[in-house]
Amino acid sequence: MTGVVWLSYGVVAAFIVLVLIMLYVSIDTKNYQKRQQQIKRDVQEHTAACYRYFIEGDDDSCVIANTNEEFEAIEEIVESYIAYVEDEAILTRIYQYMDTYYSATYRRQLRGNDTTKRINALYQIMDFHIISLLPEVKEMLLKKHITLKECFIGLKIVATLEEESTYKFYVHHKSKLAANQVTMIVNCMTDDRIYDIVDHEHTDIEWLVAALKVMAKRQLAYSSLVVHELLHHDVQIVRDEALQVLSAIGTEKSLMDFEEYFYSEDVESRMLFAKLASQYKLEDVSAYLVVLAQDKSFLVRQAAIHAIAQYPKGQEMFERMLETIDDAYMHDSIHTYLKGGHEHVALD
Amino acid sequence: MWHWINLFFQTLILIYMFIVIGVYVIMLIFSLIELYRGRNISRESVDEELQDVDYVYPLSILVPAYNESINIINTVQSLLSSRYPEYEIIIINDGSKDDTLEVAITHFKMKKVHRVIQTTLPSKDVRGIYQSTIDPRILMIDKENGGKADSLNSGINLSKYPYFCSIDGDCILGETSLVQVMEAFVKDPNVIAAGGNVKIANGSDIQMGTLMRYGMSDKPLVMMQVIEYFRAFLMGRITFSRFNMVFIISGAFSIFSKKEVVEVGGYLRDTIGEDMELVVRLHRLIRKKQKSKKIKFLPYPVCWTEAPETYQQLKRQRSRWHQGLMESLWRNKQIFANPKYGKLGFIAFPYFLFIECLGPIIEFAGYLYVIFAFFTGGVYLEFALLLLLLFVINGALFSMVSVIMESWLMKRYISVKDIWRLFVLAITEIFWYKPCTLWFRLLGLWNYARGKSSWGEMVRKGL
Repeated sequence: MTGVVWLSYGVVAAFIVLVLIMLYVSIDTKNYQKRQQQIKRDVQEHTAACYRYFIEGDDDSCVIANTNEEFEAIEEIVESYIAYVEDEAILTRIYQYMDTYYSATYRRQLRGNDTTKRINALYQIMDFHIISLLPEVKEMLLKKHITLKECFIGLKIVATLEEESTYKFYVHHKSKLAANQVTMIVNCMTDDRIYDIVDHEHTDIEWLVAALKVMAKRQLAYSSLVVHELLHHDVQIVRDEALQVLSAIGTEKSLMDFEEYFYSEDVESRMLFAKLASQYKLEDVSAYLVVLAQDKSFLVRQAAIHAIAQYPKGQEMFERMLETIDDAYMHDSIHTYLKGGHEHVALD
Repeated sequence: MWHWINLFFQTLILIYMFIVIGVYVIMLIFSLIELYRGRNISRESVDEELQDVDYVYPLSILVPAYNESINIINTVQSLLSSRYPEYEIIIINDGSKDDTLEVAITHFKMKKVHRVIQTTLPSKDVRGIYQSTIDPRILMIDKENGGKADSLNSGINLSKYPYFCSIDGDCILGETSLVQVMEAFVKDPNVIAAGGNVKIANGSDIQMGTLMRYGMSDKPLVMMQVIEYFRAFLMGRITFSRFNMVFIISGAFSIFSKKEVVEVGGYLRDTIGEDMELVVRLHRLIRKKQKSKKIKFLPYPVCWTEAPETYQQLKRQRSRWHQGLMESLWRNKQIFANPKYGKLGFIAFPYFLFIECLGPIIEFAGYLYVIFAFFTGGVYLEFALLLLLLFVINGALFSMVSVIMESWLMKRYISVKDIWRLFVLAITEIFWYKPCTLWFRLLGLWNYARGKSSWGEMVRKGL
């Protein structure tokens, strides 16, 4: 019976502890919700002054937060400006303001033990370009035990505020990062830095591939000579990305030189070929595109049809293909493309 | 002799209860650690780049619908308001007996189109395909009734993107839920499937497919399910996900890589728990090919769903779920204690078999024993009290902890009054709700034993 008695005591004790925790959670929730209300009120109160200060440049309207709620309200207002304002002068004013008045707060958060606070601070440092905290961020990136999120945002900050040293810090953490994340980091850099990485055929394959991806995305055309050279790179993924860039910026080489992609078993390669084909005259590529429009993969068919649609005579070619080629999947892909592209296209 | 038989059963039941409680405590610790790490991230945990199609994969969203005329519009509207760069929505009308087809055609101004469907996966005959003239991203397959798995296979056949998301026809997604789940695929190319958190929306204010205000239903049965969902999602799945042992990602909201799903043959049509079955077969594929692929559960992306409001509906739902669980475990019994499957065979499978699946039988035997002890008195009283206490720990205390965890995470939305209502209700769980669901789960096992199988119908009130 003693065991049961002790277990009963244990259950009662656990129950009491849970009730106490519950009381704490209730109070915490109440306070949290009150705080949110206060922040809402502060946002309403300071929006006009912030507009005058940031947008109209009225120095007398400068608002400096005295409470945590006011601070969060100002963060909210400033975030909304950053999302929509494109004027460099206004953005610089915002960045300077945040750096001058709130860098100390972010520094404190960054040095704290609370990971989520550190991550939130990093997000704000990145958005508000708080350059005075760059040394702190770099110091953090040199530490071994930081979370993936801290590492990722930290590298983006360095890539935005001091791009030349990004690679040095990236090397410390490259094993943790996925390919897409590396591209996102490289995408924070300027065009010149991207050219720099490609022109020097960076030895780090992931870094080079990310730069090529960004190049294709931004359609950066000045390094086309180097990109052509990269078509003969030892590594397949570099060759593919180089072709991706050329399909975005164009090339003077003959399409015949890329035929290996047309015959490839790999879906991505055939898609790339279709994309690249749209850079040439329709007469030269129509035979290839007609074959790709009947490909077994929907994605390749779609890429080929998209390429045909780029030409002024594309519509005419579609009609000819629909009349002469008896391939249900191709018909379907053409119809899908046309319907997806234009609301008014007649539906069957 | 009688004494030894009693002693044997008492010891067996006690050991079982201690193991169950021990497992839950371990899961609780892991989920607390995980949730503590992710708390207070001020943003919706989404990087703006993830709105760029260069970084995330385009997605086909499959919405199987059987008699969902009340909810289907809200569901599709919630998908349309998702912040995701490129997607298509495929509604699959699974031969509904109500006016689901007409409602969707009218609301989205759909017209019949000619489309070729690749028969990659088996499914029932398609009667027609429709496309919205307002938003060409919305497609609808009208097909013969074949069940949810059959509908999903049909949707996969029509889908054009390399990843697909399955959403129940009565679900509402958060604005950033899709991108939050997809973030897992972007961060780690080894992820082949991921599921989000499912929460109950009965009592909330939903307009045009958007959750305007979170609210709690006044019905104890619904509130109890809210607690149960907290427990299931926050405790179990977080821990299993951490060790790549997730056996169930809810069919209500999950994203899969189409390539792997096609490789394992898509959804099985002759099973009730098609979502669990698919995940288990994906695990088997991973082990068979020795791939370092992962299946994840993510606690933050949310999908809101409608919970049954009557005992009859709850009975139908729970017995079906349990039957599906049993079916899936039996079908994949070779995983059990098989060294080839590692922790899946030695931890996850035994957990689902002995605690989740066969638990009701043992619990039921325990309840009977307590009743027997009360009537026969004396010698069994000590054991009966001990068992009662263990039931209290297993039922009420864990539920109370779940309420606390959820309140802590959801403090932005949930009112203090509702938190206390849930907390008090959690204490009562073992006296009415637990026996009820225990009975429903036993019915599921009974149905399985009889070989009874149906998708079942749920009467919708509408979110």
